[in-house]
Amino acid sequence: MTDQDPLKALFKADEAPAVDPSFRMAVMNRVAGRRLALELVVKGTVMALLGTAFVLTAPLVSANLVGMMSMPQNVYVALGGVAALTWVGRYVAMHRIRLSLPRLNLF
Amino acid sequence: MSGIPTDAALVAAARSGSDRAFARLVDRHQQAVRSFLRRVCGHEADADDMAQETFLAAWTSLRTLKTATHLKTWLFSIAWRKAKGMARSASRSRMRDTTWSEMQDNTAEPQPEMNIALSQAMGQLNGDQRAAVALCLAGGWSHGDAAGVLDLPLGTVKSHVSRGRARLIEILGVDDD
Repeated sequence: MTDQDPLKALFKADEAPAVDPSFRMAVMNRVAGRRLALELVVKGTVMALLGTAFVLTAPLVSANLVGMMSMPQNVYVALGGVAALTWVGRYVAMHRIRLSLPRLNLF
Repeated sequence: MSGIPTDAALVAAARSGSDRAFARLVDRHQQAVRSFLRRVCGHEADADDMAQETFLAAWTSLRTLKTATHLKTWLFSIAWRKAKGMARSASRSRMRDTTWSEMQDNTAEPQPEMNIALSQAMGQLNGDQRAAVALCLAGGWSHGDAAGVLDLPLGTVKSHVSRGRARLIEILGVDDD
């Protein structure tokens, strides 16, 4: 097809706009929605795992709590553990988690 | 060295989480992708929706893109797969939109007569032919690149383009000198 091709002029007149901020915004909105959904899945999974671990270890901890806490160093360890868990929970809740998805050719 | 980042640089930035870089990629390629999809599916709203899904799919699987310099070909491959896969649902939603739009005031700018004729003429080509014509005649792609995007043999693409062009010339009644 040459530049003088009669079809070229017709196709040229039928092009989508070169600049379209509303289209870009619509795409980025969809991206934000997809990211939110993925983050909710990841954060939900992390929280569920932490909750399950807590439920599973609670009986063991409560049975041995009095004996464990009789030694001062164990109290510090327990406080440190609680502080670490709090920090991890806060981090997961407040930060965007970079998802490294497996190389799935879904599309 | 120019200050305009290459596709490869923008892909690298988008992969490391930059939304701004991805938005620039969208700005850079939206016209070509949308124009292609409009010509292939013949319905502007469906085509634009499919183009948005194409970019969303690209964002989701950006890490699977092996060579960032082939971004355009990769985007068009996604768009073409979407167009093929969504042909049925697009047709259903078009019927729904038409019913809805019949109830609305028609405030959209009327399309020039020749654009409507071109769109109708494209509608008379089969799907693969339409895509080959949209890429090679309208988009200026080489036959080889178009064959890569459409996943068709080179000879088939050449034949689609040649027959499609002849058919368009015939339907539109334009001078072919």
